[in-house]
Amino acid sequence: MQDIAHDILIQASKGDVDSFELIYKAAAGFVYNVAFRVIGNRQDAEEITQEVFLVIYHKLKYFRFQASFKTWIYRITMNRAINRYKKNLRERGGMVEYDETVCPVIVPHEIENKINQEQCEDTVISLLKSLNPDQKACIVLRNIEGLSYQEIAEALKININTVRSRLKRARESLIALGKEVVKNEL
Amino acid sequence: MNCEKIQELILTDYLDGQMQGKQKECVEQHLLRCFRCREFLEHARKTVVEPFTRAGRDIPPEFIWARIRESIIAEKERPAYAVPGFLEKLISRFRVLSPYPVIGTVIMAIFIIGIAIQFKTSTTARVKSEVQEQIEYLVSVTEMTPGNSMNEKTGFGTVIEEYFL
Repeated sequence: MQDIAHDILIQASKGDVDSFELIYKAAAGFVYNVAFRVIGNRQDAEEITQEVFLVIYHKLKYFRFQASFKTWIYRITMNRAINRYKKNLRERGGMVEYDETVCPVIVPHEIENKINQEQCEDTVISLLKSLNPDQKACIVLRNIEGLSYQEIAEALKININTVRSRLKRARESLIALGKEVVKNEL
Repeated sequence: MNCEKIQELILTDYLDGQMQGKQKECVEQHLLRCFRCREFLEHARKTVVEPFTRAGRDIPPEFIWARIRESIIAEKERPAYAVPGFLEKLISRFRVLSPYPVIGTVIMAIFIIGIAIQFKTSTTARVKSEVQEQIEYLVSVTEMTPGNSMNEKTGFGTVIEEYFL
């Protein structure tokens, strides 16, 4: 996520829509992609993005800058995305529909690269599908968004050692899944 | 450190570049002499790190910002008497109703409540007077009854009565 200048935040907290648009431009990519990776569905990711930014707009005037603004956005996004994922899971009897079609921003011009990219997306979707929501959140924030352990701990309001243990368990199950896939292919 | 502990560290801090100093040195020295752990590291990199680093990123559709902006502007254009917070939500539930039927309903409600109170007051007074009347009647009846006195001689003066008593 891009850094956001302090005076932009101040202006936006006073209700300035143009300043708020700058915040949106800096953070929307993060919010949308994290929501999509956690929920696995574009329509829900769009709704969550809209919800997150409306919450930010309304609560920005109460934000006292004691915590990092980025951490605050991470936390709102993760809460909303995980809750939506769990709600979908409950409503659909434990089955969540994933969008298999992906349209990444970096579209390679060469067909070979495009095929590789599509294969890579399929792999990412199937790997994330195999994880529980808490593990998925840690993997998305660490491996896709590149947050540090400390930032993940603050975003999810958990201890840094819990981040370690969730990542370890997630990766152990991903390695086991990889072995299973290879075994089945043979 | 044994291989199990090293592999645990590989799966977390080492793979994520969060390890520094002596611990990192210790893991790297172990990797130099342990083929199994080196293989584990390579496998972990390929399986759990590389697929995610090559994952695509989407640009959020433009209509999302359009909707957010629309929602913010609509909120700003709300009338000045709007009350913030939960009261606003409460009011917004009634905002769909036009004012005239609401005023009519309120007047009707006040009228019905007034009648109910009036009816209740008059009924209570009537019941009280009826009860009073009944008490007075009972008292008068009791006083007027000839066999009411306990000292008076009772009975019909028959032979059987005399025999038993």
